[in-house]
Amino acid sequence: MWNGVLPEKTQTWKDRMRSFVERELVPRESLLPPFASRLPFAELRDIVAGLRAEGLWGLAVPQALGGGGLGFVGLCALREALAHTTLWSLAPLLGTEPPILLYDCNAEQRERYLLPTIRGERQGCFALTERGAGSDAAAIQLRADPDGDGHYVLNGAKIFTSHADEADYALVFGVTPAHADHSAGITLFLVDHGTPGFEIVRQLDTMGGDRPSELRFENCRVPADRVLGEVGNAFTMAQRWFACDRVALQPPIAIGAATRCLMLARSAGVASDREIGPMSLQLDAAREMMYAAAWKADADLDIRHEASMVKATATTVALHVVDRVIQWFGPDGYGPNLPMERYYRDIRRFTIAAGTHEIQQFVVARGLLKGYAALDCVEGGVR
Amino acid sequence: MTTEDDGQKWRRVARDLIAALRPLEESLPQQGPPGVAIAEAVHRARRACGLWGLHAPREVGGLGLSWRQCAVVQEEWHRSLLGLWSYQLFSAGEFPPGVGGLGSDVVEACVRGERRVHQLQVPEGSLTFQMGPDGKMMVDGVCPGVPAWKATDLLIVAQGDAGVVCTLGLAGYAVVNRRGTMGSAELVDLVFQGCRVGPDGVLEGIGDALARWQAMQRLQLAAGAVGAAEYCLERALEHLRGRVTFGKPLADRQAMQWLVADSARELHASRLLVHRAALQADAGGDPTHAALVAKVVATDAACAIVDRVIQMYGGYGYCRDLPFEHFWRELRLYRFLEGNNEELAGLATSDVLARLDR
Repeated sequence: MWNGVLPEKTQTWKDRMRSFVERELVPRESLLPPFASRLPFAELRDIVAGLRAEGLWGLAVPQALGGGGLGFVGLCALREALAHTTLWSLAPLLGTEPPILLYDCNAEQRERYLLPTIRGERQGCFALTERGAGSDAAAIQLRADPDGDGHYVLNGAKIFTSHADEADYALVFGVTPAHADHSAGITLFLVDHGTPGFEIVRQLDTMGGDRPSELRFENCRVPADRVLGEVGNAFTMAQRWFACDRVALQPPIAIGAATRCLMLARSAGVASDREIGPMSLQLDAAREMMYAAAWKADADLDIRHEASMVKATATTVALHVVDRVIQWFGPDGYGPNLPMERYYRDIRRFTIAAGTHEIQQFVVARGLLKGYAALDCVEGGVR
Repeated sequence: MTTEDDGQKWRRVARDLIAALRPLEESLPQQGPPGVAIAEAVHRARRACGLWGLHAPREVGGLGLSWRQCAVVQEEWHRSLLGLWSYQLFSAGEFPPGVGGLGSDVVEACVRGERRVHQLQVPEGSLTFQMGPDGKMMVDGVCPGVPAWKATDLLIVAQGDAGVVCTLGLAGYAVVNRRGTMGSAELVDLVFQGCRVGPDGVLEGIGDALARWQAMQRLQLAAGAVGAAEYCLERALEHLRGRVTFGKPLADRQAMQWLVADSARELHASRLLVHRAALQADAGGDPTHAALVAKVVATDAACAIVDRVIQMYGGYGYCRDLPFEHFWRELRLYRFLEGNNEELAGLATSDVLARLDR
């Protein structure tokens, strides 16, 4: 079971990431536009080059795929360190978001999508949510009908697709009809940008730096060999991806950001330890939940129940902490000279994306009330 | 046998013990400490199943269980109201770890259950310690609001790195003003007035040992809080599945589901923190900080969880027909026993932030 201590190798890489953040990223924070997550090209190029030179690229990717093999515990650690800058929002461009879904690629797809994405030569975006299907992802309507000529024809729309504007391809979830070989279900397609019938309709402005897109698919023909995984099995794949996402993508960022804010508050003397202490304990508890779940994910154990608990806890605790720190700093905390307001605006979406907080609560309660989950879910526990 | 197997074994033993003792819950008073008959029955049952002297080394007659194993046992004990009298019923046979100067006869008597030893660490300045010309330590001052069970036999009263061993009947040392509380605990004031403790009762250089002992106690409280909260929440889940209102089980009501989800998350975090601290101690590390964090988080969470359980049961939860109001009253003490949670959280800030920053 998770013993509360990062493996030495992971700690070493985490320390290196943190040093890089302090040295290369924090000084560039002022270059981040208030309502976008972009940097001038030359700056981003230098950052990426620096990350590669430090060996910090792709560390959480399995070694068999050319990565560092640090696993989910390592991914959490690296992202926690990365979150000590508001530039964390560039993460998809910084080699710290392993393309987990693409691990199911076949040999041809592996060369075309997976490996270039790991190397940072290509980038994908995740197109699941639709207007009528957010947290209830099984309710998506985008049709993907076989045309009898080795293609699927996609018709429908997606919304809130992050990074679509900068991606080279999209992972698109569509409903495929029943067939002799399989029943009706949800299937995942790799759709290159530029494919006729696939367009970005618009970008949505948000309170943070994320500018997700609305996508339209009109008679968009996608070759059948671009089906990722098995036809009709994408929802299972998405659930696995969501479980990892809920542990290793959002929580470490939330915890790292809140930690930095608390430390700034303490060093500035704007709050007493009687105020800061209880919040630091809540963060510590959330962090423990995150690493314990990540440890289980690395052991290939089912973490769906814990993933919802981790996301619900880490994101709400962190938001509360950052909000309190803004309050303690007053007008300074509300303004752009300190990182709190930016952190707040960016991490606010964590209680919405990848399943709202309310859905996580529902999942946790349903699991216990229906008997799918146990109150004691500490793996390697002694019950 | 691995640690995991040992833990599983002792969890089963403790669970069976509690199952056998559960009928005694009916005899427990609503307030105040359990009677002698209950205490003796518990002690007999513990000895019979071998759950005696959990943490005491084997060479002095104890079981020599690890911190984690002790935590597991404590979780199980607290699944009964009997467990919440741990200090009265389950501390018998325990051993003050690493406190030099007590004498092997005292230690062995403690493990046999013939004597009890407790510790009380008081803030600097609340008592006056002064070495007299006759080689005796003179102690003066008052310690208010001390749990009465601490002052039943041997009590190490410490300030900083030094302390004195007080026994009932020691000249100048009085245990006064015994009063009840909302739970089973009673409180007393300790009055030191011209109290002189001879060289045999003066302990020096015990700060580290006491800190480790207190860490163990805090961890036991945390583990107990986890067990008690888990038991109450399990009962509540059954209730929500079975109770139908307006044509639907309570389990289908979102308002109830949120109470469950909040409780489950807090319980899970608490358990992880307990095991983190225990594993740290078993690995030879200093558990002071981790045990403090576990104590604060787990005891706060347990009170919140049992309060929600009362809410889920409604009026029945508030009644004495069900045990939850009683659990809550007992657990409430845990939030300031061995250190007020708010005070501890403030004291822990530097350590926790340093950990988060790594």
